[in-house]
Amino acid sequence: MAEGKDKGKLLEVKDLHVSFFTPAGEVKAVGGISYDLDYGEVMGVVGESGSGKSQEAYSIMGLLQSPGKVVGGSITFEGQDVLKFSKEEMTSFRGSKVAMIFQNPMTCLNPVYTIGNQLVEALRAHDKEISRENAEKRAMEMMEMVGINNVEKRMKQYPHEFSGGMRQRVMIAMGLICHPQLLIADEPTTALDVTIQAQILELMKELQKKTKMGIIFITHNLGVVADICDKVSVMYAGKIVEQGPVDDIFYKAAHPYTLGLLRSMPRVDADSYERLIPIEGTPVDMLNPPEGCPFAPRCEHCMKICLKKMPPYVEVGEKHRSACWLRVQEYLNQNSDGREEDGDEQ
Amino acid sequence: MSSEKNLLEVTNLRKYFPVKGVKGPGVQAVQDVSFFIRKGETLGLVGESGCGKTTLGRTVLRLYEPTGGKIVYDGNVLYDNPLGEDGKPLKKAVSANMLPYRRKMQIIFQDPSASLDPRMTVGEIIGEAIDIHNLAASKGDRADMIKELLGKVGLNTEHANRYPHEFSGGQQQRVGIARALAVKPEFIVCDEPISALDVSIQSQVVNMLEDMQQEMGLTYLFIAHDLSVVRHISSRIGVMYLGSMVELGESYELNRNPIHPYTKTLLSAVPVPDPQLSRTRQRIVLEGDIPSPMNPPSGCRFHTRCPYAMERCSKETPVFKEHETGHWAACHLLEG
Repeated sequence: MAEGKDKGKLLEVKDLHVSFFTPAGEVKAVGGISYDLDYGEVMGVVGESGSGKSQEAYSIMGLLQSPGKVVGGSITFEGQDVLKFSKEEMTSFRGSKVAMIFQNPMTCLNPVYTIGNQLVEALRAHDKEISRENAEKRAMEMMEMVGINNVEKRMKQYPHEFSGGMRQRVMIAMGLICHPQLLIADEPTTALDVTIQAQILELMKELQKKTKMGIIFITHNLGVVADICDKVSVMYAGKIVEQGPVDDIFYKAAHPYTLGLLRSMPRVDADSYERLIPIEGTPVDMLNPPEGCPFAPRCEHCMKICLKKMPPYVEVGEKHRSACWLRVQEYLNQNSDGREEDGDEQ
Repeated sequence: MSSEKNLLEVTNLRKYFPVKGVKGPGVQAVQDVSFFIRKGETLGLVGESGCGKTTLGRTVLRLYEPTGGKIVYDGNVLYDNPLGEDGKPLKKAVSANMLPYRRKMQIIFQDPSASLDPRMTVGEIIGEAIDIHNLAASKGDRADMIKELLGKVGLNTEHANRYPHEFSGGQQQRVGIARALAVKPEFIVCDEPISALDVSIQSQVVNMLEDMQQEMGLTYLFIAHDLSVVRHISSRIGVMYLGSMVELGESYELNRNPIHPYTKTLLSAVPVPDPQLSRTRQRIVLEGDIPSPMNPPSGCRFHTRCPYAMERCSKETPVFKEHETGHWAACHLLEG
């Protein structure tokens, strides 16, 4: 196993802007997000549909589809500027350094080729030297690694002969066959049943430990995030509204949207009935986003300034930041009291 | 089962879908399921995809014609076709004319955009139900009813002239709910009503369904695969696996004290939004996938994946019976 380095930055995204130029106008799908990911770190990206969480990931892979375009910012992977890659460089980067798995494995597998064929193709596309026999051997090893039995028989089967969970395992095997440093998983368990989801999550955790790869895990399910991630970015309307270590996000959430999400979900381990507290209103129309903080129209703490200006990030804890005017206010109050800013604990 | 307060009683309900060119009974989607629903309560149904929960919901309403079994609604037999051991009917089937019951029994579907006619305005969609059952005395009366319904589900009255595509998913689902409520039903099958919606919208719809229940005294059969939502909204929960009901009990009791191995697995597999808990929690991970309902395993249908399977499990079908008051399950382990 080609092990990744254990320390340092693997990926750095700075002020990334992605826009879609539609006939109805420009849709700013991603409006200036920044984060970095260390080697071997698992980051969750949470958000509702249309929050830009997938588009942000597609731009790392150079998979944005027309009329989508990266209009600003930078993506640095192991010191290289991904956005400046030529087409050929991108092709070799994709797959060998970064792999991606998707929500619906059936649409990613070619129905007329055998599973074995597709795994071998993925490997040989990046490793021109490897012989067919060796490639097949590697493919079989990978399939065993992701928990598929009867490998020799399974290699000769077609995608429709696999169940949903098994197809997702194949996708993971295919993604990892070239030992990427980073795996982007776009809602990999959303289409699966809970018991199968549990299998895939266990598998991903195990493989992550083994290969020390970084993972960007995109999902809307906070339970899944709590299970697998080291840190979390919460996205709303193309912006990261809160970012921090997983425990901070769940126990010390500093943004009303994060809090709202946590409160609105019924918990399977709750002891008694409690009425849900929903986030009122509807998600943002990205064609006509509101001025100021995009969450303001739905926020129970909305102030005048929220409707006018996007709040800056405030450090509310170690590596934990949030974009909310409430936190800005607290920060200013604390500092005017003459106290040192020592992280926000309430 | 006392029939006094039970709105719906289902006994040994079976639904098979014949498959062309294949010998045998075809897809055994619902296999001899029995349960009852009390007036005013919510019975939740959970299970993985393909376990027959949607088929059960639709068969109860006779949107699918049952293969066998008995459905009694509010003391009236809707369908009665007892089957013998060999699956052959024992006597001539009884089936009631459903039209009067359609007014009392309604359904809300999973995919709101697919269940609304794109060429009808929201007003027409809701109005159609009113027209079919002749519920409005005059045109003005009809318009008032539509307005009132829209208000009830949190939409504006001017929305009546819009088409479904002009709404967001959450709003479309509200239209679907308004349509179901238009005939002033007593009983609603909610078939995954929130799984197509965004997380922040789901809780809005759940709360609305709860309010409607309070206000109109509705009884729900709430079908979903998300155990946490079902646990939240239901007074009792039935767990299905591959067409059979494996466990049924009070919602909190089932959660604290699941007695069927499948329910235990299902509960432990639900991810909890609590990082510290999920680090320490023991998760039972099942091997393999759900077998095909075309050719289900013999005996207990869960035995191929059950961690406690014994020899007996593959031979005998366990009986679904009451082990503690109000807590039903079908498992050989419980019989000692």
